Amino acid sequence: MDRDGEFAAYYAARGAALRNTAYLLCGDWHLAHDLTQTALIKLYLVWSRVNRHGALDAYARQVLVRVFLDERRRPWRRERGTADQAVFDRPVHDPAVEERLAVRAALAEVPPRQRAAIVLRFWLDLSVDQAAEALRCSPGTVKSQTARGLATLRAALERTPELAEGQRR
Amino acid sequence: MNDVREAFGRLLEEPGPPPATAEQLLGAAHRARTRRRRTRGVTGAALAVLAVIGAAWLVPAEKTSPAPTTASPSSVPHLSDAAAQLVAQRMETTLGEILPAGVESVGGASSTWDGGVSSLPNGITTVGAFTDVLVGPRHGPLAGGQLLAYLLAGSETGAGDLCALTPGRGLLTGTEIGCEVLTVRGGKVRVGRMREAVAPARVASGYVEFHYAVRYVDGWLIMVWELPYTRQPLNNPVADGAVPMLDRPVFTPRRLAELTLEPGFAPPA
Repeated sequence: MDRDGEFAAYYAARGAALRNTAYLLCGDWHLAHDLTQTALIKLYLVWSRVNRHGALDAYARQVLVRVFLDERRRPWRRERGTADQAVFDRPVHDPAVEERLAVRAALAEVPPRQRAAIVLRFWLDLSVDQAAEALRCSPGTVKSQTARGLATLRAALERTPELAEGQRR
Repeated sequence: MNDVREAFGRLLEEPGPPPATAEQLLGAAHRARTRRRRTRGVTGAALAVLAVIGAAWLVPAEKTSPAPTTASPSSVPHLSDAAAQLVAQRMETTLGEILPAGVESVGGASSTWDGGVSSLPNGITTVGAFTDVLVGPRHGPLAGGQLLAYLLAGSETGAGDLCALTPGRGLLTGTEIGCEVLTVRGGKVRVGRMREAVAPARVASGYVEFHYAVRYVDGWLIMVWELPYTRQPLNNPVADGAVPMLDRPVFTPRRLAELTLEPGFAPPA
Protein backbone atom coordinates (compact mmCIF):
# COMPACT_ATOMS: atom_id res chain seq x y z
CA MET A 1 0.00 0.00 0.00
CA ASP A 2 1.33 3.46 -0.86
CA ARG A 3 1.61 6.37 1.57
CA ASP A 4 -1.78 7.86 0.67
CA GLY A 5 -3.47 4.49 1.03
CA GLU A 6 -1.87 3.84 4.39
CA PHE A 7 -2.76 7.33 5.57
CA ALA A 8 -6.39 6.97 4.45
CA ALA A 9 -6.62 3.62 6.24
CA TYR A 10 -5.15 5.15 9.39
CA TYR A 11 -7.62 8.05 9.22
CA ALA A 12 -10.53 5.63 8.81
CA ALA A 13 -9.37 3.66 11.84
CA ARG A 14 -8.21 6.41 14.19
CA GLY A 15 -9.73 9.68 12.90
CA ALA A 16 -12.87 9.52 15.02
CA ALA A 17 -10.92 8.75 18.21
CA LEU A 18 -8.56 11.65 17.55
CA ARG A 19 -11.50 13.96 16.92
CA ASN A 20 -13.14 12.88 20.18
CA THR A 21 -9.91 13.57 22.04
CA ALA A 22 -9.64 16.96 20.37
CA TYR A 23 -13.22 17.74 21.38
CA LEU A 24 -12.52 16.85 25.01
CA LEU A 25 -9.50 19.13 24.90
CA CYS A 26 -11.22 22.16 23.39
CA GLY A 27 -14.97 21.66 23.93
CA ASP A 28 -15.89 22.82 20.42
CA TRP A 29 -16.61 20.39 17.61
CA HIS A 30 -15.58 22.80 14.87
CA LEU A 31 -12.28 23.62 16.54
CA ALA A 32 -11.82 19.90 17.24
CA HIS A 33 -12.24 19.29 13.53
CA ASP A 34 -9.55 21.89 12.75
CA LEU A 35 -7.16 20.57 15.41
CA THR A 36 -7.54 17.00 14.19
CA GLN A 37 -6.98 18.01 10.59
CA THR A 38 -3.89 20.04 11.49
CA ALA A 39 -2.46 17.17 13.55
CA LEU A 40 -3.13 14.61 10.81
CA ILE A 41 -1.56 16.82 8.14
CA LYS A 42 1.56 17.15 10.30
CA LEU A 43 1.53 13.39 10.68
CA TYR A 44 1.24 12.94 6.91
CA LEU A 45 4.31 15.12 6.33
CA VAL A 46 6.48 12.79 8.43
CA TRP A 47 4.52 9.63 7.71
CA SER A 48 7.37 7.42 6.49
CA ARG A 49 9.68 8.21 9.39
CA VAL A 50 7.05 7.82 12.12
CA ASN A 51 5.49 4.74 10.54
CA ARG A 52 8.90 3.09 10.34
CA HIS A 53 9.20 3.41 14.12
CA GLY A 54 5.65 2.18 14.67
CA ALA A 55 4.80 5.33 16.60
CA LEU A 56 1.84 6.68 14.66
CA ASP A 57 -0.60 6.85 17.56
CA ALA A 58 1.88 8.37 19.98
CA TYR A 59 2.99 10.95 17.43
CA ALA A 60 -0.58 11.86 16.42
CA ARG A 61 -1.54 12.24 20.08
CA GLN A 62 1.48 14.38 20.86
CA VAL A 63 0.94 16.64 17.86
CA LEU A 64 -2.74 17.01 18.67
CA VAL A 65 -1.97 18.14 22.21
CA ARG A 66 0.74 20.54 21.01
CA VAL A 67 -1.53 22.01 18.34
CA PHE A 68 -4.27 22.50 20.94
CA LEU A 69 -1.95 24.17 23.46
CA ASP A 70 -0.40 26.40 20.82
CA GLU A 71 -3.79 27.41 19.53
CA ARG A 72 -4.91 28.38 23.02
CA ARG A 73 -1.74 30.32 23.73
CA ARG A 74 -1.88 32.59 20.75
CA PRO A 75 -4.55 35.00 21.83
CA TRP A 76 -5.14 36.49 18.42
CA ARG A 77 -5.77 33.01 17.11
CA ARG A 78 -8.18 32.17 19.85
CA GLU A 79 -11.70 31.87 18.56
CA ARG A 80 -14.32 33.29 20.85
CA GLY A 81 -16.95 30.84 22.02
CA THR A 82 -20.39 31.66 20.71
CA ALA A 83 -22.38 29.76 23.32
CA ASP A 84 -23.37 32.94 25.15
CA GLN A 85 -24.54 34.55 21.97
CA ALA A 86 -26.56 31.60 20.67
CA VAL A 87 -30.16 32.42 19.91
CA PHE A 88 -32.70 29.61 20.04
CA ASP A 89 -36.12 29.88 18.52
CA ARG A 90 -37.76 27.63 21.10
CA PRO A 91 -37.01 26.59 24.68
CA VAL A 92 -34.95 23.46 25.14
CA HIS A 93 -35.76 21.20 28.11
CA ASP A 94 -33.74 18.11 27.38
CA PRO A 95 -31.97 17.07 30.61
CA ALA A 96 -29.25 15.29 28.61
CA VAL A 97 -28.48 18.47 26.70
CA GLU A 98 -28.40 20.49 29.90
CA GLU A 99 -26.05 17.98 31.48
CA ARG A 100 -23.72 18.07 28.49
CA LEU A 101 -23.67 21.86 28.55
CA ALA A 102 -22.92 21.77 32.26
CA VAL A 103 -20.06 19.29 31.77
CA ARG A 104 -18.67 21.38 28.95
CA ALA A 105 -18.85 24.53 31.07
CA ALA A 106 -17.10 22.71 33.93
CA LEU A 107 -14.37 21.46 31.64
CA ALA A 108 -13.89 24.95 30.24
CA GLU A 109 -12.95 26.12 33.74
CA VAL A 110 -9.93 23.80 33.75
CA PRO A 111 -6.84 25.54 32.28
CA PRO A 112 -5.72 24.04 28.92
CA ARG A 113 -2.58 22.30 30.13
CA GLN A 114 -4.33 20.72 33.09
CA ARG A 115 -7.23 19.70 30.84
CA ALA A 116 -4.77 18.07 28.45
CA ALA A 117 -3.23 16.14 31.35
CA ILE A 118 -6.65 14.91 32.49
CA VAL A 119 -7.72 13.86 29.01
CA LEU A 120 -4.46 12.02 28.41
CA ARG A 121 -4.56 10.25 31.74
CA PHE A 122 -8.24 9.46 32.20
CA TRP A 123 -9.67 9.33 28.71
CA LEU A 124 -6.76 7.88 26.75
CA ASP A 125 -5.55 5.87 29.75
CA LEU A 126 -1.94 6.92 29.25
CA SER A 127 0.60 6.31 31.98
CA VAL A 128 2.21 9.28 33.70
CA ASP A 129 5.36 8.77 31.63
CA GLN A 130 3.44 8.58 28.36
CA ALA A 131 1.45 11.70 29.24
CA ALA A 132 4.69 13.47 30.15
CA GLU A 133 6.11 12.60 26.75
CA ALA A 134 3.01 13.92 24.98
CA LEU A 135 3.06 17.13 27.02
CA ARG A 136 6.84 17.43 26.86
CA CYS A 137 7.19 17.89 30.58
CA SER A 138 8.35 15.88 33.58
CA PRO A 139 6.24 13.10 35.15
CA GLY A 140 6.06 15.20 38.31
CA THR A 141 4.51 18.05 36.37
CA VAL A 142 1.94 15.69 34.87
CA LYS A 143 0.99 14.50 38.35
CA SER A 144 0.60 18.01 39.71
CA GLN A 145 -1.26 19.28 36.64
CA THR A 146 -3.61 16.29 36.80
CA ALA A 147 -4.30 16.77 40.49
CA ARG A 148 -4.99 20.47 40.08
CA GLY A 149 -7.12 19.92 37.01
CA LEU A 150 -9.18 17.21 38.73
CA ALA A 151 -9.77 19.45 41.71
CA THR A 152 -10.94 22.30 39.49
CA LEU A 153 -13.14 20.01 37.40
CA ARG A 154 -14.74 18.35 40.40
CA ALA A 155 -15.38 21.66 42.10
CA ALA A 156 -17.02 22.95 38.93
CA LEU A 157 -19.08 19.78 38.52
CA GLU A 158 -20.28 19.95 42.10
CA ARG A 159 -21.48 23.50 41.56
CA THR A 160 -23.71 22.31 38.76
CA PRO A 161 -27.17 21.39 40.06
CA GLU A 162 -28.13 19.25 37.04
CA LEU A 163 -25.08 17.07 37.42
CA ALA A 164 -25.31 16.78 41.17
CA GLU A 165 -28.92 15.66 40.73
CA GLY A 166 -27.94 13.22 37.99
CA GLN A 167 -25.25 11.70 40.20
CA ARG A 168 -27.71 11.29 43.06
CA ARG A 169 -30.06 9.45 40.71
CA MET B 1 -11.75 8.59 38.31
CA ASN B 2 -15.00 7.09 37.10
CA ASP B 3 -16.83 10.37 37.52
CA VAL B 4 -14.35 12.05 35.16
CA ARG B 5 -14.68 9.29 32.55
CA GLU B 6 -18.45 9.47 32.91
CA ALA B 7 -18.38 13.23 32.38
CA PHE B 8 -16.22 12.81 29.27
CA GLY B 9 -18.55 10.10 27.98
CA ARG B 10 -21.58 12.36 28.41
CA LEU B 11 -19.82 15.18 26.62
CA LEU B 12 -19.12 12.96 23.64
CA GLU B 13 -22.78 12.05 23.32
CA GLU B 14 -23.25 15.44 21.71
CA PRO B 15 -23.45 14.96 17.96
CA GLY B 16 -20.65 16.73 16.10
CA PRO B 17 -20.51 17.93 12.52
CA PRO B 18 -19.69 15.30 9.90
CA PRO B 19 -15.97 14.58 9.77
CA ALA B 20 -13.88 15.36 6.72
CA THR B 21 -13.56 12.58 4.19
CA ALA B 22 -10.21 10.90 3.62
CA GLU B 23 -10.08 12.53 0.17
CA GLN B 24 -10.54 16.02 1.65
CA LEU B 25 -7.86 15.35 4.22
CA LEU B 26 -5.46 13.96 1.65
CA GLY B 27 -6.07 17.02 -0.55
CA ALA B 28 -5.15 19.30 2.35
CA ALA B 29 -2.11 17.14 3.17
CA HIS B 30 -0.88 17.28 -0.42
CA ARG B 31 -1.22 21.06 -0.46
CA ALA B 32 0.72 21.26 2.82
CA ARG B 33 3.47 19.06 1.37
CA THR B 34 3.71 21.24 -1.74
CA ARG B 35 3.89 24.38 0.41
CA ARG B 36 6.63 22.88 2.53
CA ARG B 37 8.71 21.86 -0.47
CA ARG B 38 8.31 25.32 -1.99
CA THR B 39 9.23 26.99 1.31
CA ARG B 40 12.30 24.81 1.67
CA GLY B 41 13.42 25.72 -1.84
CA VAL B 42 12.95 29.43 -1.26
CA THR B 43 14.58 29.24 2.18
CA GLY B 44 17.59 27.45 0.78
CA ALA B 45 18.09 30.04 -1.93
CA ALA B 46 17.55 32.89 0.53
CA LEU B 47 20.08 31.41 2.97
CA ALA B 48 22.67 31.18 0.22
CA VAL B 49 22.15 34.84 -0.69
CA LEU B 50 22.17 35.86 2.97
CA ALA B 51 25.40 33.98 3.57
CA VAL B 52 27.11 36.01 0.85
CA ILE B 53 25.64 39.31 2.07
CA GLY B 54 26.34 38.43 5.70
CA ALA B 55 29.97 37.71 4.99
CA ALA B 56 30.33 41.14 3.47
CA TRP B 57 28.66 42.79 6.48
CA LEU B 58 30.23 40.87 9.31
CA VAL B 59 33.54 42.68 9.58
CA PRO B 60 32.18 46.27 9.53
CA ALA B 61 29.30 45.26 11.81
CA GLU B 62 31.72 44.00 14.44
CA LYS B 63 33.52 47.32 14.46
CA THR B 64 30.39 49.46 14.95
CA SER B 65 28.14 47.17 16.95
CA PRO B 66 26.60 49.16 19.85
CA ALA B 67 26.67 47.91 23.39
CA PRO B 68 23.45 46.53 24.86
CA THR B 69 21.16 49.40 25.71
CA THR B 70 20.07 48.08 29.08
CA ALA B 71 21.81 46.11 31.75
CA SER B 72 21.19 42.44 32.47
CA PRO B 73 19.05 41.81 35.50
CA SER B 74 20.58 39.97 38.40
CA SER B 75 17.80 37.39 38.83
CA VAL B 76 14.70 36.04 37.21
CA PRO B 77 11.56 37.60 38.69
CA HIS B 78 9.11 35.18 40.22
CA LEU B 79 5.34 35.50 40.02
CA SER B 80 2.82 33.27 41.75
CA ASP B 81 -0.31 32.13 39.90
CA ALA B 82 -2.53 34.37 41.99
CA ALA B 83 -0.32 37.39 41.43
CA ALA B 84 -0.17 36.67 37.71
CA GLN B 85 -3.95 36.58 37.51
CA LEU B 86 -4.16 39.97 39.20
CA VAL B 87 -1.56 41.47 36.88
CA ALA B 88 -3.36 40.04 33.84
CA GLN B 89 -6.66 41.53 34.95
CA ARG B 90 -4.98 44.87 35.55
CA MET B 91 -3.54 44.77 32.03
CA GLU B 92 -6.92 43.93 30.56
CA THR B 93 -8.52 46.86 32.38
CA THR B 94 -5.76 49.18 31.20
CA LEU B 95 -6.25 48.12 27.59
CA GLY B 96 -9.86 49.22 27.81
CA GLU B 97 -8.88 52.57 29.31
CA ILE B 98 -6.23 53.67 26.87
CA LEU B 99 -8.28 53.45 23.69
CA PRO B 100 -8.64 56.81 21.99
CA ALA B 101 -12.01 58.38 21.19
CA GLY B 102 -13.82 56.65 18.37
CA VAL B 103 -12.27 53.26 19.08
CA GLU B 104 -14.54 50.85 20.85
CA SER B 105 -13.53 47.68 22.66
CA VAL B 106 -15.87 44.83 21.92
CA GLY B 107 -14.30 42.12 24.01
CA GLY B 108 -11.03 40.87 25.29
CA ALA B 109 -9.36 38.48 27.65
CA SER B 110 -6.31 38.03 29.78
CA SER B 111 -4.17 34.98 30.25
CA THR B 112 -1.20 33.70 32.18
CA TRP B 113 0.97 30.70 31.65
CA ASP B 114 4.40 29.33 32.29
CA GLY B 115 6.43 26.48 30.97
CA GLY B 116 7.44 25.68 27.47
CA VAL B 117 5.40 26.19 24.37
CA SER B 118 6.69 25.69 20.88
CA SER B 119 6.73 29.43 20.27
CA LEU B 120 8.49 30.39 23.49
CA PRO B 121 11.54 28.93 25.22
CA ASN B 122 11.04 26.89 28.38
CA GLY B 123 10.76 28.66 31.69
CA ILE B 124 9.23 31.86 30.43
CA THR B 125 6.44 33.22 32.60
CA THR B 126 3.95 35.13 30.54
CA VAL B 127 1.14 37.42 31.56
CA GLY B 128 -0.90 39.02 28.86
CA ALA B 129 -4.12 40.56 27.74
CA PHE B 130 -5.72 41.60 24.51
CA THR B 131 -8.76 43.52 23.40
CA ASP B 132 -10.67 43.45 20.14
CA VAL B 133 -11.37 46.93 18.90
CA LEU B 134 -13.78 48.38 16.39
CA VAL B 135 -13.41 51.71 14.66
CA GLY B 136 -16.35 53.38 13.00
CA PRO B 137 -20.00 54.03 13.68
CA ARG B 138 -21.76 51.16 15.42
CA HIS B 139 -24.31 50.74 12.65
CA GLY B 140 -22.14 51.75 9.73
CA PRO B 141 -18.99 50.44 8.14
CA LEU B 142 -16.74 48.95 10.80
CA ALA B 143 -13.12 47.99 10.85
CA GLY B 144 -11.64 45.63 13.40
CA GLY B 145 -8.27 45.18 15.00
CA GLN B 146 -6.64 43.92 18.13
CA LEU B 147 -4.45 45.50 20.79
CA LEU B 148 -2.20 43.25 22.84
CA ALA B 149 0.03 43.77 25.86
CA TYR B 150 2.32 41.15 27.39
CA LEU B 151 4.77 40.80 30.23
CA LEU B 152 7.40 38.08 30.05
CA ALA B 153 9.89 36.98 32.68
CA GLY B 154 12.30 34.09 32.59
CA SER B 155 15.89 33.10 32.31
CA GLU B 156 15.97 34.07 28.66
CA THR B 157 14.44 37.51 29.05
CA GLY B 158 17.47 38.61 30.97
CA ALA B 159 19.60 39.52 27.98
CA GLY B 160 18.25 43.03 28.16
CA ASP B 161 19.67 43.78 24.76
CA LEU B 162 17.21 45.79 22.74
CA CYS B 163 18.89 44.51 19.62
CA ALA B 164 17.64 41.02 20.47
CA LEU B 165 13.93 40.55 20.51
CA THR B 166 13.94 37.03 21.91
CA PRO B 167 11.93 35.64 23.54
CA GLY B 168 9.15 38.05 22.65
CA ARG B 169 9.67 37.05 19.05
CA GLY B 170 7.78 33.85 19.80
CA LEU B 171 4.62 35.84 20.40
CA LEU B 172 4.73 37.62 17.07
CA THR B 173 3.91 36.05 13.78
CA GLY B 174 5.37 37.30 10.53
CA THR B 175 8.67 38.68 9.38
CA GLU B 176 10.45 41.63 10.92
CA ILE B 177 11.08 44.26 8.30
CA GLY B 178 12.73 46.97 10.38
CA CYS B 179 13.21 48.36 13.85
CA GLU B 180 14.62 51.31 15.72
CA VAL B 181 15.30 52.22 19.32
CA LEU B 182 13.40 55.26 20.61
CA THR B 183 14.04 57.18 23.78
CA VAL B 184 10.80 57.70 25.65
CA ARG B 185 10.85 59.59 28.96
CA GLY B 186 14.51 58.75 29.33
CA GLY B 187 14.10 55.00 28.69
CA LYS B 188 14.99 52.95 25.64
CA VAL B 189 12.15 51.27 23.78
CA ARG B 190 12.57 49.09 20.73
CA VAL B 191 9.94 49.69 18.07
CA GLY B 192 9.78 47.13 15.31
CA ARG B 193 7.78 46.63 12.19
CA MET B 194 6.40 43.25 11.13
CA ARG B 195 4.85 41.96 7.97
CA GLU B 196 2.43 39.06 8.07
CA ALA B 197 0.68 37.22 5.28
CA VAL B 198 -3.12 37.20 5.44
CA ALA B 199 -5.74 35.75 3.19
CA PRO B 200 -5.97 37.69 -0.10
CA ALA B 201 -9.73 37.74 0.43
CA ARG B 202 -9.18 40.11 3.33
CA VAL B 203 -6.62 42.40 1.74
CA ALA B 204 -5.61 42.58 -1.89
CA SER B 205 -1.85 42.71 -1.27
CA GLY B 206 -1.96 39.45 0.70
CA TYR B 207 -0.09 40.90 3.68
CA VAL B 208 -0.42 43.43 6.46
CA GLU B 209 2.17 45.40 8.38
CA PHE B 210 2.05 46.34 12.04
CA HIS B 211 4.28 47.76 14.76
CA TYR B 212 5.26 46.48 18.16
CA ALA B 213 7.09 48.11 21.07
CA VAL B 214 9.36 46.33 23.57
CA ARG B 215 10.94 47.57 26.76
CA TYR B 216 13.01 45.71 29.34
CA VAL B 217 12.69 46.58 33.01
CA ASP B 218 13.95 44.70 36.06
CA GLY B 219 14.22 41.38 34.25
CA TRP B 220 10.81 41.74 32.63
CA LEU B 221 10.03 42.30 29.01
CA ILE B 222 7.02 44.51 28.26
CA MET B 223 5.52 44.18 24.80
CA VAL B 224 2.66 46.11 23.27
CA TRP B 225 1.46 45.71 19.73
CA GLU B 226 -1.51 46.35 17.55
CA LEU B 227 -2.81 44.07 14.84
CA PRO B 228 -4.82 45.70 12.09
CA TYR B 229 -7.07 42.69 11.86
CA THR B 230 -8.47 39.87 13.91
CA ARG B 231 -9.47 36.33 13.16
CA GLN B 232 -12.27 36.60 15.63
CA PRO B 233 -15.67 37.46 14.22
CA LEU B 234 -16.17 40.71 16.07
CA ASN B 235 -19.87 41.33 15.83
CA ASN B 236 -21.05 38.34 13.88
CA PRO B 237 -20.08 34.97 15.29
CA VAL B 238 -21.23 33.19 12.17
CA ALA B 239 -19.54 35.12 9.39
CA ASP B 240 -15.87 35.16 10.26
CA GLY B 241 -14.12 37.85 8.32
CA ALA B 242 -17.25 39.96 7.95
CA VAL B 243 -15.51 42.86 9.63
CA PRO B 244 -12.81 44.40 7.45
CA MET B 245 -9.34 45.09 8.76
CA LEU B 246 -8.37 48.51 9.96
CA ASP B 247 -6.96 50.44 7.04
CA ARG B 248 -4.75 52.51 9.33
CA PRO B 249 -3.34 51.83 12.77
CA VAL B 250 -5.02 53.22 15.84
CA PHE B 251 -1.67 53.91 17.53
CA THR B 252 1.45 55.46 16.08
CA PRO B 253 4.75 53.63 16.72
CA ARG B 254 5.74 56.29 19.25
CA ARG B 255 2.42 55.96 21.05
CA LEU B 256 2.98 52.20 21.25
CA ALA B 257 6.40 52.89 22.72
CA GLU B 258 4.81 55.23 25.28
CA LEU B 259 2.28 52.56 26.19
CA THR B 260 5.09 50.31 27.43
CA LEU B 261 5.46 52.88 30.22
CA GLU B 262 1.78 52.74 31.21
CA PRO B 263 1.50 51.96 34.93
CA GLY B 264 -1.15 49.34 34.09
CA PHE B 265 1.38 47.33 32.08
CA ALA B 266 4.18 47.65 34.61
CA PRO B 267 5.66 44.46 36.09
CA PRO B 268 4.59 43.60 39.63
CA ALA B 269 6.70 45.21 42.33
